[in-house]
Amino acid sequence: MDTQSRASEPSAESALLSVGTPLPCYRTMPIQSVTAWSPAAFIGALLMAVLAVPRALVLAPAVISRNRRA
Amino acid sequence: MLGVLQIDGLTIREATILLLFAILFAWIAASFWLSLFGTFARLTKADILPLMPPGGVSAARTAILMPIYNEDVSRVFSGVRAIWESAGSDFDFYILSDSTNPAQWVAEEVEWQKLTTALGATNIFYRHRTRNIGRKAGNIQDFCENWGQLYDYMVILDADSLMTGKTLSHLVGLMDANPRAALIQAPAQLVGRHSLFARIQQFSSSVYGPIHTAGLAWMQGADGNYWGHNAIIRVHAFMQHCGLPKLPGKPPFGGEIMSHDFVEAAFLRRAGWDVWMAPDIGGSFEEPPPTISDYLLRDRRWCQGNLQHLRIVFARGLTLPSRLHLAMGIMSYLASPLWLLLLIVSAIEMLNYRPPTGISVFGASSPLTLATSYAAELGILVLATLVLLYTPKILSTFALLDDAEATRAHGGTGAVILSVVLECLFSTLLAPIVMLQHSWYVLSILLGISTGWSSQHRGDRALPLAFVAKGFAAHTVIGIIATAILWHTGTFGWYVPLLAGLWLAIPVVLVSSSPLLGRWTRAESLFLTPAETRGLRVLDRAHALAGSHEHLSADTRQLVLDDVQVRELHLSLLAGTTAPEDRTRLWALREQAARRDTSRFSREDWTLLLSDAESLKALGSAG
Repeated sequence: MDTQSRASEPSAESALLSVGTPLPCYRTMPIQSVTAWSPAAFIGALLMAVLAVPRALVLAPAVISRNRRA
Repeated sequence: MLGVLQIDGLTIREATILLLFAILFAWIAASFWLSLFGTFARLTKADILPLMPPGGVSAARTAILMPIYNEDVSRVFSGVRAIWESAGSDFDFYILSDSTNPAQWVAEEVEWQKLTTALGATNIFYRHRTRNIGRKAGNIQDFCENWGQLYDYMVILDADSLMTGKTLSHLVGLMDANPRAALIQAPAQLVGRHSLFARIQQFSSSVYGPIHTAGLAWMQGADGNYWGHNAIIRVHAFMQHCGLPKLPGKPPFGGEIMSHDFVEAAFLRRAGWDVWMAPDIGGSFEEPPPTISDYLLRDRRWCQGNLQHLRIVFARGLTLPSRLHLAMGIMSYLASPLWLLLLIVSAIEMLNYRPPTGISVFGASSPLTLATSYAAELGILVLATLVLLYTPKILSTFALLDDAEATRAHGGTGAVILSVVLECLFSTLLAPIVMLQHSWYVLSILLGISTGWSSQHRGDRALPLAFVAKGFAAHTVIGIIATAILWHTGTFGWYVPLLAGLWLAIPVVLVSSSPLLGRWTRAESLFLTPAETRGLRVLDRAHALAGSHEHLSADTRQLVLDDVQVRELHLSLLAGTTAPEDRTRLWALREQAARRDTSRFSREDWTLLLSDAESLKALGSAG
């Protein structure tokens, strides 16, 4: 879990310089793709959605209960 | 509707009316169903947020981020101090400035130092970016890339956001207890402003908001959305999956993603993380725009951002609910031009209306015919539309009146009912103004006109008549022209509720901006909210601090040149930043500054000079 993996790290305050922020610890955020569907993929996905939505609605209470137990 | 239109054959105009009506009816029905679900969830006390409750004390490290852009410094730092005092030392605070106004920039630095010194706080940080790459989303990304790894969670605030320490701790506990949750949105209640318009909005948010958010939260479950602030986010999930691309092409549809929040929530869902909304968490506030003019100005930016989602809504891998969130965001602005188009086509249809011939009872050419009337069918349609529009408000009012404590906090039963009636009247007048304005926004965006990034007016102020008349004369003129056209159609009466808003656009905007009238309605127990009747410690503290705030009297830019302490502070905050490249220009500016000949410095000149530590050091030693 995040909290455990960070427990041994030095606090941000200890890294504070005489500047306004702690020392940077640089790591790039990867750019995500927003490539749109091709027309064929769109129609396929639409069909899948027509099938999936009723299923998701029917199963919603069970999924929520499972999440609560998890 | 089809039954009425197809009697004497379906013309292209009638088919257009039918299509537009179907789309818009479905759109308002969505809001109706949300409120119905919300009321049901409230009455049955359904578990709206099926998450594991917080455990013990959290070991997580959480940063509270306040991205700012040319904001009033007293407001920003009073808000930060009020939250800090409420939250204590459990959180690190980052004021992430993108301010482009150099005077504002220096004032922020001075205020930051005053605040940290006054509180003896080592956990309030300040960072300024000279280049505002990616606007607000880029500002957050810059934080994540530089300091994100130091934290488990981050809470994003807006410049006018306030959150209580209790709510912040609760959100952290929820994130700890639910490791699949990447984001929990705490819906912000509108508080803290005094103009009539703001108070009506605050009242609406307090009365109608809980039912709406309950319905939304109940329906969306883990497929929630992000509203850009007042939310806690799991930093590593965000860093891994929310790097926003630049859309191909130029603005308004290309370039940087403006409404980043919906997209970030969609990306988190695409990666399998849960995004929740916690409608009952409380302790989450923001201020509404003080005037209709400010409200519409903000909408111009949101409109462009949401229409940009047309490029994203069909992106691969997004979940269906995420696409729905994006589509509904688009539709919230596209609905206005569609309503306008429906009204125009309906009016044209009325102008060309020929009463249908009677229905023959005996044979095709019988002298015994019956007159036909569609009054009943059209009456049902109008009634159904009104039911869809007003039921959410009625249900919310009943839900409120069902709770005696909440009713008292809103001024009592009589005050609530009267306020709701007046609010309905006001929103009816406002709707056509907003419809016209949004239609213009959509049209201008389709024409390729992009909006800039301007800071918002957040303070109460009565708008001057000349300003309002200039901004809303077009609405009035359109209202008068439409009246002249529709006067003789015989259906004019149906259009009066719509036209009234346009006729009265200028007085409505003017009067509603008045803080005086806002205070008068408060004294008369109208539009009261619990924040006003009971007080809110964090809000009252922020207001008290802002009220007693001493503004810097001198030109803060000049202080960097003249005041050693301010210069030292500025130089220490510049440490580690990249020096500007335009050395020739800098040299000329430095020469002028050495002679204190800065009166003709532009904003860019000041920014350039204040960004260069070497020049400032040289000026300091020369002085």
